[in-house]
Order: sequence, then C-alpha cells, then structure tokens
Amino acid sequence: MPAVLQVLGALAKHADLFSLLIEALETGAVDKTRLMADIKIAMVDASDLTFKAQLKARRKQ
Amino acid sequence: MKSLSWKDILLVLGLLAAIILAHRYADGATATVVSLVTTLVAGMMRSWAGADSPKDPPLGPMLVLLFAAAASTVSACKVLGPAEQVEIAKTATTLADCHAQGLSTFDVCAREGGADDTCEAEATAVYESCKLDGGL
Repeated sequence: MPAVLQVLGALAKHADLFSLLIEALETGAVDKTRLMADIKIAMVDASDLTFKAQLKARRKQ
Repeated sequence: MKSLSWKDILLVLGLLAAIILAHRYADGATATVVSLVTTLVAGMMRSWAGADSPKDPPLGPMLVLLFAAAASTVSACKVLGPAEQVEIAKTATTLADCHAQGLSTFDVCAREGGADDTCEAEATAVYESCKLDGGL
C-alpha cells in the first residue's frame, strides 16, 4: 500500500482520539479514562506497525 | 535504517517547534489542526525522501503515529494529571522493551537457521506475549 494511503489510514483510524483532544482543548474537561485508553491504543498501533516494518527489513538484509 | 540528513533533522525540529508554539499561543482547535498538518508532513517526508527501499523500513506510518502520540500527549498534558502522564511514559517503556525482546528473538533465530517465516512468527509471539504481560 502506498505510504500516503497508510498515513491517511492511520489518521482516520485515530479520528476518535483527535476529536477527544479537540473537546479537551476547547472545554478543558474530558473523559480521562476514554482519553487514556485512546492514547494507549494509538501508541500500541504505532509500536505494532514499527515492529512489523523492522522484522520485514531484517528479513530482507 | 537510513540515517537522517541535517535537512531532515531541521525539518523535524521545525515541525516540533510549530506544534509546541501552536499549543502555547494558538487556541485549541487551531493548535490541533497545526498538529494534524505537521503530522501529515512528517509522515510523507520519508516517502518523498525515498524511504521505501528494502533496507529502509517504511518510516512514514511510524512517524505519523509517533507524532500523533507526541501531539496528543502535549495536548493531553493540559487535562491529564501527573499520574496519567507517568502511565503514558510507562506504556512507552513497556513497548520499547517488547520491541527489544522480539527483535533479539528474531536475531538469535536468524543466526541459527536463516531469517524465515518461523523466526518472524517466534519474534511476533515473544512481542505479543510481552505486551500482554505489560497489560497492553
């Protein structure tokens, strides 16, 4: 998949996190539990993606 | 992984400065849009630089999510307390540890019998089990 599509896919997948952040910044109040859960999911996704890419690169070496 | 040139480093620093300045001086919605745009630019920067060669893992998606996490953390610090920030840092440490465990499993396996599907499956199993142990 082209990198641009992957980038857009990643952003779309975490749209919920961004809307929560906008709400947090605008109102100063937000569901902390939901925000924490979303941040963790985004971090785990980033980690999974990186891990797969690193394995792929090691196999090609 | 390809090393970054001075131009790349300057661009990354510029993007980080834009995120920090936007969150410091602009209103909430503008700052979030700035974060999103800088995230996109950072992600595509590596593709423009030809980062898709076999020896160079696709950094675009990785960077985009890392920047998203960074921007989110910067924004979230306004509403999250120290306890939550420590939890985010702990998550990052656990993930880094799981990466190291998974990759070293792959390296050991590859040295013994060549880098194949079995090694990849073994490394992924170690990585996933480490994440489970860390509550992720």
